[in-house]
Amino acid sequence: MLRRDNNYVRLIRFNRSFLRQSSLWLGADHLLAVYVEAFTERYQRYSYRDIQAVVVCHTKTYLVLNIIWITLLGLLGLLALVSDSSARIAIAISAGAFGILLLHNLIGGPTCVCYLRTAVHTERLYGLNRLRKTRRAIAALKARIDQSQATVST
Amino acid sequence: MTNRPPTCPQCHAQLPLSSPELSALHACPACHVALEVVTFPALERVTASGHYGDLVVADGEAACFHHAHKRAVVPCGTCGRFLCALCDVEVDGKHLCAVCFERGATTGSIQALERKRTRYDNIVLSLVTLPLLFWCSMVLTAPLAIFLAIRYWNAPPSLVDRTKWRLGICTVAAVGEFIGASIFMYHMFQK
Repeated sequence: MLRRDNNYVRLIRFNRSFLRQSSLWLGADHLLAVYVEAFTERYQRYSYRDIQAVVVCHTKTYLVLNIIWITLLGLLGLLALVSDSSARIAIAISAGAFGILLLHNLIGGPTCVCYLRTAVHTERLYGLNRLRKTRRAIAALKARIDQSQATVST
Repeated sequence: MTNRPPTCPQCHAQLPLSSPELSALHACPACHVALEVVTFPALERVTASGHYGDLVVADGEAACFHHAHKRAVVPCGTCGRFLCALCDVEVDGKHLCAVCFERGATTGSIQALERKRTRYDNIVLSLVTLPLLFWCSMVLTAPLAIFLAIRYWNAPPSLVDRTKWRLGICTVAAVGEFIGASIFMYHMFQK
């Protein structure tokens, strides 16, 4: 759900990675990318009038992660077959953690990288890394950009 | 000025420039990676060249403060100096000269030019939660967290999250930690 703020409407929630968090916000006349690194918040603005295209590139990260988690779960399953009952508790805890990671990946859906193109540069939007979320965000962004560029002569 | 064609993010091969062709694209023609391209009218827009400013043609005509031979078109919204079309910088509907633009970017007085902000609530949160790992650090971190919370209470918050609830909760927690640390120290020195 989009959250209303004084000046900005949230397009996507904070997407946490190891070193930074990123989120996207819709402003009155620009898209705001917010990156939080340690104790500093950095801002990147993209005027709706300048955005020429959004390019979404599908990636194999979703598939690779699924294979990794399922393989690890399978290995733990095999290990559980040849272990005694006390070791099975530790294996079950590990399997639970991998199961949660697998579930998180499955719920997130296929992965992608998203690039925003203007007349002078192409920038990656780090917050958009899941296809479903990206499509939803682009639909909301498209309405704003189309409205802003309605007067642009071709 | 014509637009340069977009490129594939994966292999950097050139993609078609026209909007209908781009929108119909499902994969990169070179590396065949799956692509989805959403185009906007600005892609078809021919980028106009920048203004150089018209020359002063008659005596007594208002000239630019920085270029005496160029005609002034607008005064700076901050310092009032006359500016030619080349010197005029438009930000948020205000016309500024290069000096005021630079000053606005440095001091943060123009919000549209603000590039970063320090999140003091995150610093205070880190100081408050650090004792969970090293409990004896509470003696130092709790007073420091209280000091920072009071010192920067009125500092500009995040551009997108303007509430102070996090700073408030952290301050209360820091005060609690400080009281706890004080009681602990008192009992330790009593013995």
